[in-house]
Amino acid sequence: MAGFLLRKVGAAIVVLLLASMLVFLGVRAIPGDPAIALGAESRDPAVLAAIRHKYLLDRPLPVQYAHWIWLAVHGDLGVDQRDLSVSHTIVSRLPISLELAFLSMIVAVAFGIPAGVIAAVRRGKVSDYAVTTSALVGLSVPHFWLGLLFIVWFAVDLHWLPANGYVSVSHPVANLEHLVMPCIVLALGLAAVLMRQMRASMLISLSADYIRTARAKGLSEQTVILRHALRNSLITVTTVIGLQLGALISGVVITETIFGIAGFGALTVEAVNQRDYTLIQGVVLVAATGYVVVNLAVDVVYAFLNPRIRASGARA
Amino acid sequence: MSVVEAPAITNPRARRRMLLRKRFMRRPMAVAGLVVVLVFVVTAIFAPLLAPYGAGATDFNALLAHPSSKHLLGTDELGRDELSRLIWGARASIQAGFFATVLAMVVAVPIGLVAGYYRGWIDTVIARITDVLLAFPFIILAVGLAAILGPSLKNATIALGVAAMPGVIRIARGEALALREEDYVPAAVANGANDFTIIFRHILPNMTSTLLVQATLIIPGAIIGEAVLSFLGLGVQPPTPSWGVMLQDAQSYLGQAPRLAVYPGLAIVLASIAFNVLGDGLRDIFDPRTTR
Repeated sequence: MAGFLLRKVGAAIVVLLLASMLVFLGVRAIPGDPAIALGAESRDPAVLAAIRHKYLLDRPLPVQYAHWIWLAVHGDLGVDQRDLSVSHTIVSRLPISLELAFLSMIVAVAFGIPAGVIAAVRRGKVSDYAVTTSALVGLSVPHFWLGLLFIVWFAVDLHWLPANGYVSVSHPVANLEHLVMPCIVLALGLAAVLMRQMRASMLISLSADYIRTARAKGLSEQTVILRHALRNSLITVTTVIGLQLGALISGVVITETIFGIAGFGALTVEAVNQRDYTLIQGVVLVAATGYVVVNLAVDVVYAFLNPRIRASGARA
Repeated sequence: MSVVEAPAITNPRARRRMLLRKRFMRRPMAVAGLVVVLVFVVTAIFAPLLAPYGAGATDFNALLAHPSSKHLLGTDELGRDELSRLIWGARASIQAGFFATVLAMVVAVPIGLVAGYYRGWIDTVIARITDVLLAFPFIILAVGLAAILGPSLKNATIALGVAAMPGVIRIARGEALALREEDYVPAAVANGANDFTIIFRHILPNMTSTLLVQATLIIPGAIIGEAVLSFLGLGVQPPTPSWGVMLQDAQSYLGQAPRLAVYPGLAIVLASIAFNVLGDGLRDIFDPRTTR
């Protein structure tokens, strides 16, 4: 197990290092002189030279990269155009997005997994078609459009829910009221994927030999489905949840933009629209790091759930 | 009067094609998907002939006008005909869907083939590169590219293509891993074929059906992706119409003209479902095992 963990962590670190180089080189590939941007468009050679010296822009790229990554590892991502600390901005925005993502994940799991199980157990019946059709619709309907429709229906027409904005957790009721629509919008696509995956892996589980054995020894259908088939299917679904994380991050960006929630996702779009390169660099690095770390966690959880993988150490 | 007998088809390829066509025609959903897809493609290509008005033509006597005989779906805040903009907007969607998929296939398939055929260290290196690409959620990748190259339809398409690559690499690799064990590979080696011939003449043709199915499933993702990026201001730039741009415009008038937010979304959903259904149908006819 220790070897497996080490290999996984090692691979994750390599991926992160390469990803950070990509981010670094990507931002350096942007046309225009960063010194001019940092110097408030000043063209005075002395000022520019001082700025280049201060931000190490006169040093070779590897030195700049090492300096940047050294500071980043210590939590310093530099300052943005308004001279605010990028790390500080990100830390202040991140909890909002995490709350949104976490609640959506709960909604998606609460709907997707039972629906997938029901569809598999009642394969070919009306409830199966209902679930598979709604999954297809859930995958085909773009989140952001659904968000707009929700605003039209529930905020503009019915006045049930606030159209946009975010209220901090210290006002729990208002907080949840503002998050109902974004959460459902974000959860829908995820629930559709979970439904499909759950249905497919339940079908495989239900046709396995151990299910026949369980039935043969007289276990109730409920026990067979919940204790035997569902348990084994959940292993595959764990990985799917991990793989959906990228979609979740993308979804957060869009959902926050539609519902005017000032979280990490909205910050990403703001950074690009303002062409604030330090901010873009920081945001992309944080997003990639979070993504890799959570995937690593999913891999480890998966190994715990499935002893066969732990033993062979495959999929390294 | 004698009954004319259908000529017996002996050519195995022609027979397989006929069998596939027969299986396809037996799936009404897939046929419907194909029809809708063709309608969208034709609309995109012949937009100048089909659209009643130009993409940017304004009618200041009819701002946010309701649907009428003059403007079948009404007009937007600048008096532009909604139906015409939808028709012009199909171009951006179909372009992005098509070229992003072509880009992903052209780059990713050879990489996956090489990884699966040679295995060993080259496979490991490619797997690591795929991991790095996967470390950037699609939207972050698109955001990064838009920041570097500037927002435009072309750059959004590139971002969508790059985002689709890791998945295609994995599929091509998996297929190549399996196909290299087929009997015809040693047969080709015995015939003196080099690696290039084996990979591109023997292994690649045998995975075309898998790749075709994959392509029809990448296209709807790219169509939605284009709309999302244009909506966020990272794709097609207004006033050029695209379904995403139209939705962004509509966002400011949700109270006065909610219908402006409905039509472009319906177009996206319809196109995306059509491609998905077509892809599912193709997968079924190529692999009868997956039929329910």
